[in-house]
Order: sequence, then C-alpha cells, then structure tokens
Amino acid sequence: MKALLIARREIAGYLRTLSGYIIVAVILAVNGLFFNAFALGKAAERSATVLSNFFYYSSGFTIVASVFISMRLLAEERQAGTLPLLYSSPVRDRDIVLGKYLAGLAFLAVYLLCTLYMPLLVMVHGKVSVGHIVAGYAGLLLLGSASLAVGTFGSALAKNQLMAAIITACMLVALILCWLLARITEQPLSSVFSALSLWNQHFPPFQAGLVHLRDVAYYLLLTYVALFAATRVLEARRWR
Amino acid sequence: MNPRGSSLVLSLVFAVVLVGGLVLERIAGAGTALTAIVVARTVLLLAVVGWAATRMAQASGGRKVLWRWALLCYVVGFVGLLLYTAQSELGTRLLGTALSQSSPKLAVVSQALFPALLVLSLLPLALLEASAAAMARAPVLETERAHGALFSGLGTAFVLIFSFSAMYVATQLDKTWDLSYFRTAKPGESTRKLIQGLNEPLQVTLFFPPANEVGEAVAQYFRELGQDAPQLQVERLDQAVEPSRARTLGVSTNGVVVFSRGEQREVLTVGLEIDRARGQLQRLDQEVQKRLLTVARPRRVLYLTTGHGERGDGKAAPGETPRPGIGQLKELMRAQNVEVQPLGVAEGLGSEVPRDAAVVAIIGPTKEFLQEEINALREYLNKGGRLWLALEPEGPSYDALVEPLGVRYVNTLLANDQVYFRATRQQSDRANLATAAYSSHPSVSTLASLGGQAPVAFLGSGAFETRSNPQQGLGLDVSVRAHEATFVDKNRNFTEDEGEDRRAWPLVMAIDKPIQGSKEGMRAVVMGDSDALADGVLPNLGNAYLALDTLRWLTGEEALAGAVSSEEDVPIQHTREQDVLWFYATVLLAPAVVLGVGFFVTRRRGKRGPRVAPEGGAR
Repeated sequence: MKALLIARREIAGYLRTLSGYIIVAVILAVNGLFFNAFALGKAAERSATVLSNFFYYSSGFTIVASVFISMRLLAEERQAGTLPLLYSSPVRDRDIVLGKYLAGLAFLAVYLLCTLYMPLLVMVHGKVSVGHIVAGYAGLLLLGSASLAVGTFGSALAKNQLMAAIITACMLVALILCWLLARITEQPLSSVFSALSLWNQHFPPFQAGLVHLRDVAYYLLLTYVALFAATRVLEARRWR
Repeated sequence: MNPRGSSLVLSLVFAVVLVGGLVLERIAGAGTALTAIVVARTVLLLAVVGWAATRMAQASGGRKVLWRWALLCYVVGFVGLLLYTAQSELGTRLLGTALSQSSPKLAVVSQALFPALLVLSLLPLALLEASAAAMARAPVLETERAHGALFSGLGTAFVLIFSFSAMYVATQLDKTWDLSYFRTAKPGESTRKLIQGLNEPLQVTLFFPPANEVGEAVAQYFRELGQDAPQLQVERLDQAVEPSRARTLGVSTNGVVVFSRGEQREVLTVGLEIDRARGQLQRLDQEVQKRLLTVARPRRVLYLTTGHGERGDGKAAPGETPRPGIGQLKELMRAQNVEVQPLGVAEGLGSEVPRDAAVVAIIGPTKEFLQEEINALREYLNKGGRLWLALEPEGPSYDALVEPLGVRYVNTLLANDQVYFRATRQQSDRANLATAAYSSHPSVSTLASLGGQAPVAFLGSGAFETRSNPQQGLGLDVSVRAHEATFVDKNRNFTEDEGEDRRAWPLVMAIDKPIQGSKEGMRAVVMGDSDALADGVLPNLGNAYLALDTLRWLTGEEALAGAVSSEEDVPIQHTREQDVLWFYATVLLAPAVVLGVGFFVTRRRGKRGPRVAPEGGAR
C-alpha cells in the first residue's frame, strides 16, 4: 500500500509539469512518422504486415521511452539530495522501488495508450483481429515493463540522471545483443544467451499476434530480477 | 578490518581460478591439455580452501567470522566444480563410465546444481568482500554489515536461480496462444443465391474424422449455407469408417469435400490440420463457389479476340516494355466455369462469331480490326450477342467498333491530382485513377453495394461520350464514373491546364438493346482502360468485382451477383487523400492532443496555485 502512495505521488509529479506531456508528444510524433514512412510503406502492404511493422517500430520507441522515464526515478532523488528523506520515512526500500517503478509503468502505459489510434486505423482499412492488437500491446507493455525495471536498477546505481540513462542504455543494449553472443557461443551458453536476449528472441512473436508463455515469463522474470536488484542496491547502504 | 587480515586477494584468486579454469577447459577441448588444466585448477582451488581454513583457525573475533563465511563460499563453489568435473571427460575416466549412463538422474541433478552452486558461491562472496573492503580502515569490525552483505548476495543468487528455473519450466511447457487474424469464411451472398437457385438436388459430402477442428469449421460453413436451400444435401462421413462410400466418390483420405450432381463431381481438399488448412478456410466461400459453379451450371464459352495486339496476345516487340497480360482474368473466368477460347481471323472471325459464344471480349487492342471482323461482330450484336470491350487511350481509333453501341471513345489520357493510387510517387501516378462512383446498374451491383470499400483502379484511362444520335432502342448507362476532379490531360503533363476540364468522366458504360427473337437482347460493356483487367491490378477487390459483375451481367447471370465472402488478409490501399489524412492524424493530431491536454492540466493547476496567507497572519 505504501508503494501505491509513492506511485501516486510520482504520477502526480509527471502530470504536474509540462515536460511529461512533451516527452509523450515527441515520441508519439516520431512514432507516427515511422508509421507513415516505414510501416505503411510505399506499396499496398497487407494489414497484418502493417500492424507487425507498427509493433516493430513501437518496440524500439518503447525501450527508448523506458530509458527516459526511468532515468529520473531514483537518480533524481539522489541528485537532489532527497533520497535520505525517503530513507528516513516509514517506508521500506522495496516500497520505494516498487512505488517509483509503478509510477513509471503507469506513465509508459499512458504513452502506449496514446499510440492505439494507429492500429485502429489499420483495423478500419484492413483486416486485423482485436486479438492481434491485444497481443502486440501486451508485448509492448511487457517489453516496456522489463526495460523500465532495468532502468530502475540503473537509476538506483547512478548518482545523477545522465549516468542513470547511460547505465540503463548500456544494460539494455547488452541484453539486446545477447542474441549475437548466442550465435557465436556453443551450447549450453548459446541457449542461455538466446534466452536472455531482450528483443530478438522474445518480442517478434508478439508482433505476429502470438503469445508464448516463455516470452511472458521472460519479461516478468526480468522485471522481477531487476526490481529485486534495485531494492538490494538501496539496501546496500546498510552494509557498504 | 585490518587489511592484513583481508580475504580479498584470496577471494579474487579463487574467482579467477574457478572461472578462468572453466574457460580454459572449453578452449583445451580434450586430451592431455584438458587433464592438465583440470588437475591444476583443482589443486589451486584446494590450496585456496586450505589456506582460508588455516587463516580462519588463526583469526579471532570478527575476523574469524568473516573468514568462516568466505571459506563457506569457497567450499560451495568447489563442490559445484566437482559436480561439473564428474560429468566431464576426466570424470568419465576417473569413474570408469559416464555419469549420464551410470546414473542419468544424478547427471541431470548435477547439471542443474553446478551453475546454481557457482552463483551461490561467487555472488555472496563478491558482496561480502565489498562489505569488508568498506570496513578496511575501521578499528572494529562490524560483522552485522558483512552478515547483511552475505545474505543480500544469497538472496540475489536465489532469485537468479529461481528465475532461470522458472524460465526453463515456461520454455518446456511451450504454451502458445495464437491471436493473429484467422476466421473461417462465411457463405457469401453470391454463393447463397447460387444454392437457392438450384432446381435439382446437389450432394455435398464432407470427409472428416469426428471431433476434427477443420471438419467442424467446414460443417459450420455448410450448415449456414444450407439454410433456406432445400436442394443442398450435406452429409458428413469418416473415410476410415466408410471406405466403400468414399471409394465410390473417388476419395481415399479424410479432409476432403466432394460436390456431386448426377455424374458430375468436384473435389475440394481442405486438410485435417488447422494450421495448414487456415488459408483454405479463409477463402472457403470462394473455393466452394468455384466448385458449385462447375457442378451446378453449364459451361459457357468466352471468346477473346486475338491478332490486334490484345493483352496476353504474344510477346512484346524487341525494345518495347511488355504490357501486363490477362492471365489472372482468364483464371477468374475459369473459376466461374467459363471456358476461354481465342478468336481471330484464323478461328473464323473474318466471317462470323462462333455460335457457342456466350461472350466476345476485346481486351486492349492496339491495332484496328478488319472491316470483315467488324461486320461479323456487328452481325453478332444484332442477333443479341454479348460484347466486352476494354480499350486503351494509346490505341488506334475504335470508332468503327463502338459506333453501333452509341458511344464515342475519347482516347486522351485522364488524370487526377487529388484522388489517385500511388505507385512510383511521381507525377505520372496521377493517371492511376481511383473511383468508387458506381451506378445502380446490374453490371456493377456488387460494387455499388460495397461502395467506398471497393474502389476500382484504372491505370491510364480514356473516357466515353454518348453519341448525339444513337441507334433507336439502345439503353446506355454510365456504370462507373471517374472522380469529379478528373481532367482530360491533353498535353500529358499530369497537371490541369486551360481547356482541360474537370468532370466525372464516364469510365465504364453498360449498353443493351432488345432484339426480336432473343430473350435478353444485346448486351455490351465498354471500359475506358484495359489495365483495369490486367494482371497485378485485377487482385484489387474493386477490379475483381468489376470483372465478375460484368461477366455475370453479360452472361445473363446477374442474379448471382454479390460479394464472395473471404477472410483473407487484404492489402491496405491508400489514395493520396488517405495518405494525407493518415499523415496528419498520426504525426500531428495525436501529439497535439497530448500537448493540449498537458497545457490545459498544468495551466489549471497553475491558476489554482497555493493560497496566499492574509496579511497580518490571520487564518
């Protein structure tokens, strides 16, 4: 419950200033440009292809949005020197991390909701199922959730927002590039790297309207591990 | 902690030997090198463990506690390594037989435990050393801090182990939900009319085993089709249970639908696996209609004139770009149980049109017809013939051909700078007309019902004008008109210039005339562009229905007109207008709305603002 209180305070922080809206508007505009230029394409593409292309580009924007959203979560408090105030308040470290993360996730969900009109346009002009759209958005939300959790971990490690963004980007790129490692290593390491790959191995099925239990499990577990690690980083002040 | 008493160096040596040994082992592969590496690694690790035990025995107080925990981490890591070694080549040599053969279950357990023990050793050790390093200059050791670090590491290690295990289980379960677009087609209007118009029983036998997913979908389709159609008799059989019945109908496997009427029989193979049958089920209505037309209706002959540079007529001259053929149109005709035959001077067009001709089609001629051929065609029309004429603005004068039909062909290119299909993103695209302006004439009844959902594409079209003094009795109907912003592009610069009027030019006209002694009289359809029927353009929904409705009206089967149900995915056609709309909606509108909401919310909060305390501090 305390996590929810922190989340509410954080969301109010996003909504109170124009910067949150500007971030969403800019990412939406760029996403719209990509939708027009690449997803719709020059030739008459089949609706499932257009939708798949839309989710392909949106996944990239979701990861980028996650980095921007998460960089301020804990690093901003540390930068402003307000983190000790949070420590001294009657909330546990895990409530702080969870509350901040939930606020970021809610903001990301709002951004994703704002992009919904693009698949709906495809639905009006072509033949796609609601299920395909739901699967794609579930994938985007899960990918965003995992990226945001990694970002929360990065934000917990960093001393300022810029460092948080750099650390998060490095970790996410490392996770994305796991598929390359999977290609050059041998078994059983290649299976491990392949399973760890943030995008290549787990997102394309969502793009095509397929929901695999293993992909859902991967994103949820990555979220859990990253948030757990972020909590441990906060707790480390007690033994460092 | 006193640096002299630190286990940091030893822990680093332990981690490097452990991980480095594993990497070197992979590089060495097999043989003596591998044995040497394993032996060296084991000896070094044993030395580290022994040294740590000695230091622990010598230490006292808090330092002793730290050494004990570090030693515990070393031992856990060493045990993990032993489990790994037991399964290696060296382990097989030492044990005499491979662990996977002598004790497969133990082998699996040790395979899973080895990485888990390594994580349980190295992660807590790393955090323990980090905690100890932070107390390096402290006069008194705080074992509680080291204890916290150790447990933090243990917790993280267990979370990692749990996550990998859960991931493994989820992967092994391999559960999938397919939410992509898939639906079995429902009976379309046209197929329903065909079935309801039957005057003799038609037997449909479905060969599927019980509780088969594909069989259920097909049966459901025929249940819906059979409503209000007493002549349709549907029966479901299992080929394995009724082999003799199946043999009688020429079937040797399940997953097949047989349409039979008297001696006539048509087979549709759908398959038994839903994943493979998807495509067939999505266009089931189309496939069923094709078979029904073959079984239930007599075959008609459509003659395509040849020898005048028509489409699909021979190869292009050297140096010329080949024009798209009409292979897809011919395929469409065959699917409607229409036999396509060539008709030129060699086939007797110079004297008369064959008597079995249901329709004569002239698609995109580029040379003029001989006077004898024109005479034969006129005679055919005067006897109540059916003519399908698709012309080209680049072609010769078609006056002699179209004069008896009461129209004149304006063979100048039409263009539109507002509504057109984009193909090359050049100005010439403006000649790719798109229109959804249809009349209520039976030759375009399906298109009229679909309206804007099925625009027709004309890639470089001419137009028609009604003659001032047409023959008496001729009925002329403009069935398809161009968009009202279309202009005659006389100088072919794709821009409207002076004297190039914008108008809803007639693109397709349906002409009929009652003939004495003929039931339905003469019928003709003239089209301003033969590209509308050419390969590549015909798959466009509007063009396909234009061809189908035209054929049905010309053959007197307009009662069958109606949409064929298909659940196949469709290409998204976008005209320039739609492009512009999509662009502004996606790039500008949505971000503007978000910014607007943001501005409204933040401004409203700003107006409310914090209350200012009244002067004097009164509350």
